[in-house]
Amino acid sequence: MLIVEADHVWKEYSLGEERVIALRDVTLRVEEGEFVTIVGRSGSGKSTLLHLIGLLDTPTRGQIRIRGRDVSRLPDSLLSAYRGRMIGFVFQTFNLLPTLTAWENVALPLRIVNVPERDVHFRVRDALERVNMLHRAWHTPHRLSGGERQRIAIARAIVHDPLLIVADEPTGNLDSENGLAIVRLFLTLHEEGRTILLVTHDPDLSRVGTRRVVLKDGRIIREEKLSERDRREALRVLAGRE
Amino acid sequence: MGVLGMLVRMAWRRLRADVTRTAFTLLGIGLSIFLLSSILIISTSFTASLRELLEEFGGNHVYVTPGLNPMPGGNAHVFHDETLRALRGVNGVREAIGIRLAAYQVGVGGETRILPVMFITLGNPSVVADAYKFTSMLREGRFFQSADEPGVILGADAADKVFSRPVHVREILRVDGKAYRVIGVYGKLGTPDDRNVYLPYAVGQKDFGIRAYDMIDLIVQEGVDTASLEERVERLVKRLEGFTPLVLTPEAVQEEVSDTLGLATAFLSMLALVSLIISLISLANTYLAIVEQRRREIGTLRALGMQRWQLALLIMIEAGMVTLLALLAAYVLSILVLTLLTPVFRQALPTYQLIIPSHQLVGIGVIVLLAAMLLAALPSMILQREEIISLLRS
Repeated sequence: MLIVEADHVWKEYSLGEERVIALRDVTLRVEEGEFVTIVGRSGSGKSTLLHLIGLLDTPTRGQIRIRGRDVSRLPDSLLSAYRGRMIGFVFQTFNLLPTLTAWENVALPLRIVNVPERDVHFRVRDALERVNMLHRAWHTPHRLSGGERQRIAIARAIVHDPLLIVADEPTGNLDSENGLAIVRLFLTLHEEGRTILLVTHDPDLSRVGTRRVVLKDGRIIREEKLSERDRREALRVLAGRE
Repeated sequence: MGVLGMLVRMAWRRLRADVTRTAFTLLGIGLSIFLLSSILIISTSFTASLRELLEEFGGNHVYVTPGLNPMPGGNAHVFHDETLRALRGVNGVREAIGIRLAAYQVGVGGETRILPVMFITLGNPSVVADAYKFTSMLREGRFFQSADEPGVILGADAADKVFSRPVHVREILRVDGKAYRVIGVYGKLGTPDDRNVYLPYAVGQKDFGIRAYDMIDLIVQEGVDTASLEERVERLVKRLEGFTPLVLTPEAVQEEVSDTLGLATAFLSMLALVSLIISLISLANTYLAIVEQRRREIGTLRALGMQRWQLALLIMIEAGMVTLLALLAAYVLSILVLTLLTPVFRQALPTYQLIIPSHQLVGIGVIVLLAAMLLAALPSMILQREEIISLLRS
């Protein structure tokens, strides 16, 4: 089933008086259960595409459709509701709230949409168990390592059972050991049936998914399906960096 | 817990995370509210206490003075005996007391001071004593027993503070060189009258040659229509003396006192209000800085699906908590300080008692709270117009 679809999407920015075209006529479809990686150099437009699909930004032209519904021109309140219920974000810099405990950070997406407190308890517990961080639930982010913070961020991204997990350079701020652990976590989530869209500039990391999209100068220049062998090889290379 | 519970918890954590900033914000708003609430409590307490004093001193008195100055001796005109007699015959008047105030050298032993001497007519001393509640206000001795008794009664300060030692009943006091025995000493009233030396008017006529009155005090019957009485008195004085007097009814005196206090209160409140507004503006400024610091956090919350109104509410709750704490602390502090100051105020006004205008305080609290929350929310509302991406990149 088609989860999300970017259809002939353009994105232009104003940089002072200059117009910058970040995406040019990009079309991308993500099916349920896929693990799509987007790779490209800095300025290729990969993060812009991720932001558009994650409903953090709106396209200048073209459509973003979630389960067939065009969401590219929705009012802010509805976009927020879509984001809150259907998307799980994992950021490069973790973006945990420093004054909240790990548990409270994970509970945020549920509380924002007013999930009953008993459900919050079970779902947060389950999410923390999945990322193996239940033992650190009552620590605030400053008492956690980078890898632990990213695990908490991933728990926050899956706690509300979103349609799509979008991850923007999730290993960018981690050492190779922690980076690999996070990659393995994503693979486990994918095996559990979750749909993942991951952006990276790392060619090896971009090969751990089921499909790889290469962007250059705002255009998709290549799309390739990855085999189980490709993925094992990528993991082996990543492990070799330790 | 729900959204609101989560927002409250997040706001509380934020306040605790930055204790210094929270403390300074608390101090700024708290001090302004302390000033405002103290002024309000003092004004309410003084107005009520003065009203009580006026009622105690004579709710049935109508003061007739020759001009705008209500104090004896403060006007160009004076009243004469014919007017006093005529006023005694006005319907509704129980007694008319003529008063003359003059300054004389007053001596005890070898000491001499200049003091105000008040000569009062004592047509019927018992009525006068009763009307003024003079007997009950005497702390020592008695009131005059006849209209021409050559004795003096001293105000509390005249007896206690003017000379190097307190003056008591039965001592000899010289007024302008003439010797009189002290027959009574008043308790403290907390008014300028505490420095007076009282002598019967008839003694003043005989010994000092006084022939006119600076003020006439009408003791009126219960339930008399003071507005109509005022008119009749004005007409009568105009006919006999050739000028229109100032007639101060109890209501007018109370109004005068309330107006004067109200004016002082309004002025002081204005100052406190300005300081409060400055504090609230600095609160908005503080929150402008806070939301600027928290751009990424705001971006993250928006990315997680938080609505704009929820974010504004988060900042409002945070500002509301600080303001509520400041309000409570300021109210408790002002009540505590003013309770401690009550004995000091009682020296100036013996009937003074602390009255807490709870309705007004709650009203002010609600207004300040709402203003603080709205002002604090403004910067976050402005910030939320920015794209989430730009917030996340901060």
